[in-house]
Amino acid sequence: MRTAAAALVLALTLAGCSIYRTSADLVGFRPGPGANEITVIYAQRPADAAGELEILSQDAEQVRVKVLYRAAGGAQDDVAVEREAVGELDAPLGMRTVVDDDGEIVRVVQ
Amino acid sequence: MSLSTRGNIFRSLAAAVSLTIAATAATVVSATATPAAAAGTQTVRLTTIGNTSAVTGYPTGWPDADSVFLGSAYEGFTARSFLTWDASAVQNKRIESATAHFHNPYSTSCDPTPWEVWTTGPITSATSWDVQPAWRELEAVSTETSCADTAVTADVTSFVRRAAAAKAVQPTMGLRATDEADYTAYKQFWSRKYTDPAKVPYIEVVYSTGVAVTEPHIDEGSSCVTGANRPVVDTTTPALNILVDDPAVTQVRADFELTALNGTVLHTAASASQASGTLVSAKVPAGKLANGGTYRWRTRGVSAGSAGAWTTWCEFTVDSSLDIIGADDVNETVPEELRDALGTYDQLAEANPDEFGYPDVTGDAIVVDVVTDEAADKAQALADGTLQAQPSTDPDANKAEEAAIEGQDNVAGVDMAINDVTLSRTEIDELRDEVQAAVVSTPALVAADVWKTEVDRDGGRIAVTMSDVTVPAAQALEQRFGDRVVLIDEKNQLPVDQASRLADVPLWRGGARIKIKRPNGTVNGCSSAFAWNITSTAPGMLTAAHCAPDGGTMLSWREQTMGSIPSGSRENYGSNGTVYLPNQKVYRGDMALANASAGIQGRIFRGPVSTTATARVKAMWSRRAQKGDQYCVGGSYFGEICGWTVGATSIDVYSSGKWKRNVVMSRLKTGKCTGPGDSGGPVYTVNSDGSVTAKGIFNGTHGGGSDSYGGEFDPCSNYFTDIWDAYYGFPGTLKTS
Repeated sequence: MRTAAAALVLALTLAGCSIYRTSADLVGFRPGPGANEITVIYAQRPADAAGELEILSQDAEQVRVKVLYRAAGGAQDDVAVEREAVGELDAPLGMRTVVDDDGEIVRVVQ
Repeated sequence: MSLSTRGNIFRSLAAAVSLTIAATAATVVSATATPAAAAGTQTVRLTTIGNTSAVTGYPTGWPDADSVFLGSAYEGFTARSFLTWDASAVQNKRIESATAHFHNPYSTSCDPTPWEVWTTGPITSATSWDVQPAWRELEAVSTETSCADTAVTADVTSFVRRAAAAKAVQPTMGLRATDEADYTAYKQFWSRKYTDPAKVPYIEVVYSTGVAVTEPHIDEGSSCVTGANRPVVDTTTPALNILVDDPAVTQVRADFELTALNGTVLHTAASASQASGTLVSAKVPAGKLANGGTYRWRTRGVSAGSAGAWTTWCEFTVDSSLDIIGADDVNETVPEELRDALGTYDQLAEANPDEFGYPDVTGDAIVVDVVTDEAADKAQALADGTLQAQPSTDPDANKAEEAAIEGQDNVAGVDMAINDVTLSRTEIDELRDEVQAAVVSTPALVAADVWKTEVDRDGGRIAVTMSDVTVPAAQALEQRFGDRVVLIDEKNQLPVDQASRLADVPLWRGGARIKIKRPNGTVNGCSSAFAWNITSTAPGMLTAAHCAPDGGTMLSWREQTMGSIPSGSRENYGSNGTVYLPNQKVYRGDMALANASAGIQGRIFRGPVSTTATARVKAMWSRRAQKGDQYCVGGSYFGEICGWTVGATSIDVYSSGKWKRNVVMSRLKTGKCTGPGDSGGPVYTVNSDGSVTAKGIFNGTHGGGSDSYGGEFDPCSNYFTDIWDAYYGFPGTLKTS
């Protein structure tokens, strides 16, 4: 079983696919589109797979988020494209602060 | 691309030059005013009263030619043109729009190559390529191009506005190609000397006259809005304000009307006359408004007995429970005789932030806020001149207290009162951090344009200044911070030209975050590399070609236009990767050169992503990169990362599905890696004097794992284009300072 897993990892790696997911640089956020949703704008390379928004924690003061994506393998041009990921909160975002996984403030964008 | 024959160029030039000999009288179409379709506006047609072209290799201009020329037709022939306009018809007018029309009988290419309109200095008898009028302001960029002797246009509203504002009756306009190294951008326009008056240049100006009003606002700030984001005031007697302007008169006034939301008129007022172009105010008398009510108001200007149109309705809500203060009401000016004493108590408080608050002045006395008895004792000792460093206090470790002790003479004879408070200086500073965090992440506060916070020393709270104190913004702060904040309504007058890596402004620098808007509308996030002198008068900016694979517009991160990258001639990105630049036989990595629309400076941003620090660009590296050279990368997404070592030169990298040919690659390295958005950034070495030496243009990354941090098992490397390829491949030289 362990050998098979290792072989799978090796195969994926040789195929240029990362088995790990990359945490994206967050550009900003805006509330919505749904009442309890938040849209996070993030930067990645064009060939990277679309990211998924993870709500790491949320309380009355703060919502902590990060976007994970699978990066394209091999050498890559370092051009950035902005993409959006939507996540569901327990309640409307309201006046809560949004921070990334390092605790840095994420700016609201119009 | 469709090219006309080379022969047409010479026929056109021959015609132009021959007419310098057989000049005819100018055909000038008189300026005429006609009623415009839109009520309140009129149109007028401006024509030229003089023109010339400045051409490389010619000792004089071509003032009498039947044409004006711009751009480069071939090597050794580059032209720029200057046209002087009769703008007397737009004096004392408010310019709504202006469009320049030129008949374009010849272009080397039918492609929409960009050309620029500038305000320049006047034409003189000496005007030539070597003696050009000053190129003062870039007013417009047009890509309209004709191959069939039809008209091309440019929006020259700012050119005419600038002339009208300056009372310039004969402004001069400069025309030039955006890319003077692009032979497909050459154009010929008929001039005022052309025999067909229907094809001479003209500007159609739409203007209005009479009184106009702008910037209606209530009290210190706020915008004119209706609905949920209407501003809130904390008084039943607010001031209504409007800027009234009539270019033709010196005195104006304003009418005001105030109603309930249902339209019931509550108050009307007419202001006294005052100078045109100034703010007119009317204070709402007591008894007209009630706390909790929502109202609307409008205004109009009046000049020479004639009233302008009413503005739209502006709404506001009265909430007397709010504490909105004026900007001058917080931390009032300290009397000069108390400033040294306050400074000394401030040093003591700064040295002991957990025990003190912020000292302040009330009347003739210093009021020292304390949260502990020890602080009170220290303040009293300072006042008595007996404060000494405690045995356990190392003055070198607490320089603020040492300074307070040394400054005890400053407080001698100054009244001091001790005030017990609950919030320490440390806690107030933490509160300020919390407020600032909320400001950037709370939509209601972003909408209100919160632009300043400060400690209200008298109240021991945070004063939050915003352009629009709206009901949602006030509620957001009240909900989060209660009475620990106070609101200030003041329009944001901060200059927007505080440059940073994330928000560069002219004069443009390298190492800044940029956007490339491609012709297909998509946007790439990249970095600028180095400023570049395409010619002595044509500024440029380097970046990576894959950021603009088919050319495009270069924008700052705040979306201010930085310039344009012509496809093909100024980038070397093809469908399979690096391609040759026109007429070259060497692959030159991955590089692009934008024609900058404003000035540049020979500096780059250095430091982290948020940096405002810049460094002087001293020179290009003395040779191409060699294996073993050290370098830094200054990308705008991952910030400055140094410690890279050149591992290979003149290599081809298969990256993002394309071959990047003849680039420089680093050795594998552990630590922080470069990443998406850094493309186009500067590659350099740092000199002992803090300046940098340019080494290349950053292109891409390999490795680094999922965290963009190279470990023992997943180190990263990167690759860049040598700066010497930019030097050999593009016109011009590195901009240094």
